[in-house]
Amino acid sequence: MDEQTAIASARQGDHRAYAWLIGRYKHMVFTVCSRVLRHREDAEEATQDVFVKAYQHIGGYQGGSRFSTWLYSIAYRTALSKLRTRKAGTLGLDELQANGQEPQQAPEGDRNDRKALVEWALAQLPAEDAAVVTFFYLEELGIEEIVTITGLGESNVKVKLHRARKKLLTILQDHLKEETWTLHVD
Amino acid sequence: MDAPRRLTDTEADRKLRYLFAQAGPLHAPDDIEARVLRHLAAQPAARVIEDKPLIASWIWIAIGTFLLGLIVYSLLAPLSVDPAGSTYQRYLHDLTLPDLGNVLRSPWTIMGLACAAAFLSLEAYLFRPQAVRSGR
Repeated sequence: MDEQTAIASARQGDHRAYAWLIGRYKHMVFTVCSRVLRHREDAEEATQDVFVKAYQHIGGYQGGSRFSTWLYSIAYRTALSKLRTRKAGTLGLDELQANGQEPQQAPEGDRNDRKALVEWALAQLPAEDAAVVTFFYLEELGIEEIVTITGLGESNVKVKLHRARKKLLTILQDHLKEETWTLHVD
Repeated sequence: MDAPRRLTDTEADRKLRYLFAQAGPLHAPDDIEARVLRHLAAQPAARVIEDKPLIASWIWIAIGTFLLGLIVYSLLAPLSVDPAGSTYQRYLHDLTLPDLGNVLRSPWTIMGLACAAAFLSLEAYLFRPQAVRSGR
């Protein structure tokens, strides 16, 4: 089955075709939700909500952008909305993002466990920045696509990326001794 | 020993991209498809709302047939009206179309057209494709 066929069939209410689309994108959607929410159960719930919402609105997907872009946009917004709801009334989003993660110990003895290392480093970034970095470095999306997904301005995305890159390199340079991690600081 | 060289943004991007690729995405629960489909199945089936036209097509056909008949009749009917003819026939032949030039020059027509143009422009402006918001 190819993606366009699956989308067309899902539009007609074909659940099997939609399950195929879920299988294709579930890991990335879950990753985005996790990077924003930093809580496994919340991220699982958000992932489920994303796919339910996407199914309900698949008729509105016009094919103007890639399906993944459209889906990640739903994922990003759903996760942010959950994050706001979780902390509603206690903190503003900026404070929330700054304080979104309890300080954690760096993963020890797992220099080869890159996943844990990346997760630990990303957990020290604000939620929005972690999502932007994930789109840019993991999914290898361009700035324009990230702008479409997040609704942020182009310059804002670039600033977030620059800031996140600097912070990630600062965090990671002590943990990747085998490589020359010297940060280029302006 | 040489001092370590500073990374350019491109080099840093390349290294981070490599690191992220090695780490890969997080793994979603295996049963997420089943969960979503269960959720979708539990929802009431979407009600299909048909877009019914305000005036049914058979009414349009009837109106069209009537008007066409009227026009054909007025063209084919004899010019001289028999005074003994029906009221309907007399009325039909008394009908005179207004002078189109005068109608178009009327301030009411001009104002009507201007209003229509203004409303159409307003609609086009309000329903234009939205650009991506810049900033929040």
